[in-house]
Amino acid sequence: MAVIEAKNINMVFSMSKTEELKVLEDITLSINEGEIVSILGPSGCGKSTFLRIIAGLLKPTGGEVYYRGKKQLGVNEYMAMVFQNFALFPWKTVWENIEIGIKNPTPDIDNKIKHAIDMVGLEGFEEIYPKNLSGGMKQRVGIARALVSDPEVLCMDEPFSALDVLTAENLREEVMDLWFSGDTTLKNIIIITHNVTEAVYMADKIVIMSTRPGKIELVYDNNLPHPRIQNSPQFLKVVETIRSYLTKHIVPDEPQKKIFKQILPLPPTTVSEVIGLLEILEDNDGKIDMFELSEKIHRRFTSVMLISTAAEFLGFVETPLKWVVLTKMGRKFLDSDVNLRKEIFRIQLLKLPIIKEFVKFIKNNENVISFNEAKAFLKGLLPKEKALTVIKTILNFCMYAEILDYDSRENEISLNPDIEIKV
Amino acid sequence: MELSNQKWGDNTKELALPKIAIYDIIVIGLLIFVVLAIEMMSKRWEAPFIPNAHISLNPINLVKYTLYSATRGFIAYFISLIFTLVVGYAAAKNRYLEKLIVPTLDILQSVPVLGFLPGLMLALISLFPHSEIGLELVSIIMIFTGQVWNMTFSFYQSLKSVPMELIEASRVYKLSKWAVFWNVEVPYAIPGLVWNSMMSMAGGWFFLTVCEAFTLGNKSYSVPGIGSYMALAINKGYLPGEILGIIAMVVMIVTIDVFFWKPINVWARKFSEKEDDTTKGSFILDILINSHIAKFFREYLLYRLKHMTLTRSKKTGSLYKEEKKRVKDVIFTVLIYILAMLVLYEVYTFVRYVKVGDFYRILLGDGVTGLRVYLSVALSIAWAVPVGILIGKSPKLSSKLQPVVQVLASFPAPLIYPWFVMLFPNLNYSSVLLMMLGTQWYILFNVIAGASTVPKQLEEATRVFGVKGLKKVFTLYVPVIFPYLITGIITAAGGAWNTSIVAEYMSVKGKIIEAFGLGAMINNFANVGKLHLLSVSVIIMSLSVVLINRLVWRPLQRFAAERFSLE
Repeated sequence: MAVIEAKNINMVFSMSKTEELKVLEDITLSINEGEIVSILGPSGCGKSTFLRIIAGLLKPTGGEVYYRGKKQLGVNEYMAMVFQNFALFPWKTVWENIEIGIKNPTPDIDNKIKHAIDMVGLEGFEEIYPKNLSGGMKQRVGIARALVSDPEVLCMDEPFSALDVLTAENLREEVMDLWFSGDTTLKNIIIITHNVTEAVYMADKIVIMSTRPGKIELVYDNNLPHPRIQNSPQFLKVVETIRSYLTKHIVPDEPQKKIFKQILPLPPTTVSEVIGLLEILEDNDGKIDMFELSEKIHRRFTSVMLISTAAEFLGFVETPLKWVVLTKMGRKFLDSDVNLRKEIFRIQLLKLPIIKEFVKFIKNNENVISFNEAKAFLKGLLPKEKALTVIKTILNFCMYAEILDYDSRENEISLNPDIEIKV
Repeated sequence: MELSNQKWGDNTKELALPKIAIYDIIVIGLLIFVVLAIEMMSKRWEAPFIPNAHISLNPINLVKYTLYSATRGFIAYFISLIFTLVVGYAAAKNRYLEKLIVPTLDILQSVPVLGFLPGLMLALISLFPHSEIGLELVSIIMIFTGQVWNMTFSFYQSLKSVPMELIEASRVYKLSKWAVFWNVEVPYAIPGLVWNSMMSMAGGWFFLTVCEAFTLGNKSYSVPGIGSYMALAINKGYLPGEILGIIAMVVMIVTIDVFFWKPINVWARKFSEKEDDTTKGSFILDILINSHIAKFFREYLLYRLKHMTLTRSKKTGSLYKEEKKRVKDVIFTVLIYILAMLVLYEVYTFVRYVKVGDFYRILLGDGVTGLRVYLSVALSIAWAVPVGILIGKSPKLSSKLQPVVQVLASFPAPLIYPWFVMLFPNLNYSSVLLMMLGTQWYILFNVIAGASTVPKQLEEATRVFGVKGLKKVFTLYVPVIFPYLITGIITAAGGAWNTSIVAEYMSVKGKIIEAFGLGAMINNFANVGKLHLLSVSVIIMSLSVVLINRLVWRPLQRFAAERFSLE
């Protein structure tokens, strides 16, 4: 039987009186008892919002959540939460912070807290203030606090992403040990993550979400037996499957034709990130796996994808599936000096419809427009995107390419008068 | 930090057989002292009503008077604290009250509240016709009005910025609103609240002479204290008394700092997230931590308090309650308009009787006082910016000078006004100096704070590229301190407007000396009981303060924050 059922969840935030942002669209998900569910998706897909709706911290603007068949009307009593930035009270000691988790005071509070401290390995730290603890120890306190509340469902909002890689690995394994120890009241864990390996390592059900608005794309049943070994061929195969699904569906390849025909926003990256990617590619014989790269440089896979896509827009790379491959143009760019690089960049940028339109717009306004005019214009071109992000990226690229000048005192954008730009 | 000191409930052995240590003797001494002070004060309160307290200039009595003044300051502070917790919370939690309270606080913060008080004073005095309570209350409330506003503002701002995750955590674990208040919101606000409390206490002393001896409709009232002692000594021209009064004031300020603020300040460090949790730095806190008696109280009381404050909400979160916001909004707006109309009508009934000539005179006085205010600010900037930069950029110098500057700043300048007047008898000009005496410190403090944030790397960069002298000052220090300087100017100008009431009008050796200006007018109107002219004057002064802030300083502050912030 489904323990948690989310039915047709919609969430719209109003940004201002006129602007609304649709974060979640029509999400339906059911979670069975005994499952670890991991929700995987690019940043900004609303996965944290979804978790808060499940926990009853947020009310969805549409749809309902049922817990064991009962419609949820407020904070769910049977759930506990572990937060990305720990959410510990700096003025309370470790002991007192864990005490917060005890919802129904009983005479054996002290034993319960001691037991939880024991489980997460915090003995001897009881009277320390959180600010004197390392990140890993802080999150242990967060987990102990959740455990003493005797939850049936443990909601974890990117619990390991504020930790360094080694600590995260270690803590992840300890959570799994706790889960299998049978020493807790836990019946489900819901964990939000952006790390594919983490999801495959922990979860029985992997929910993949896409962004803007957040939607569920795939629910993958992960039947690998526990304990899972991260470099076993079966494990790697599942990781591969998820990764290739992500590359295909979440950040889909734009066919070359589409890039030059349709008005698309530049992926929100910077010039130095794109050049950095090209340099790394050169060091790796011109070809690299996106996910390996993301782990190597400690960036989310979505941001690596965005950088690759930006490089693809400029014709510097191609991205067959999860691979990034340096093109001839890319090599030419790398081999050039600063001035030539800028010229190549300019020529490539001016092929993109969005840049063409933007430059035309400025030309029509006597070569100078205000920042707000630019924002309004881009909002009109791309109503679904955040105009501020779009314009910042355009400015970053076009200033490097010496197409545009930006005066931050006057808040004005103008065409570079020294170079003739034809569109 | 010794961890065992922080622990409670595991030292039962020690508790059972308390050894009397030197610490305990000090704690007992302090307790007896507090009890005696309360006893003394309550006796005073029950005493029969005497509008003009008999004040003896005999220096021995100054000890008693100092205690009276200190007690009043603390009672006023206590009231401020309660006011802050209640009003600040209401403003942060109810969006309708927020719209009313925040602008009101903003205005009260920068306006001479003393001018509003005569009506209230009359009411309070007539409430207790037979005992001194009425008079005492008036004096305490006047001190309170000098303390409370920035505390409330700071508390409100802290409540508004509690991190979302902490709120969510407390909701997941079902803390009641009461528990959230004591376990999350108040602790989060404590660092800011402590800092503002110290400033407030200093602000409260500023008008002590006025708060303890005041005139109203040609009747004068006074309660015994340092302020009234000084007022009398000045009026009689009794120099030894004046000097002793000042010494008493300094002793009082330093004592309160050492015994009260220092330990609280050190203790408050545990509430900040910064990794600086040494409990060293206050010997009083050491005593309180190590004394058995205090430990007993701490453990017993804390245990009790914890149970009282850590309650859980019974019902599941009520976030699903849908409010009919539209209807409420309309009702609120209508109510606000009605209230505004009523206020306008009240003002109109007052203003109706004001002759055009009087009105012009008040406006002219406002202009003259305004000139003085900004002249005093300009003079303060002229000396405080270079000195502040020098102090702020050297940690050694600032750690040495900070306590000195603090005492100087919290010393109520009006106490030494008469001496200045003897030196510069024309109050029309010297009142500028008098305003400066009180308010230059705000600018100095802010400049020091700004200069101490100059990034070391920028400092090194200027040295590497050989930027020196004035050029260095203008490329590095001035931009960095600019946002701080604006904040300092706003506070200093606000203070100077307030000060005009005591700087433009005073009685020395039985003679009244005054300058032409709105501050002096307010005094005169209060003395002759022309309440409608008084109200008009105060309203005009308030309007000019608020207008200048809104039109000049706030935009500049926003600009500075955008342009010169280091992030």
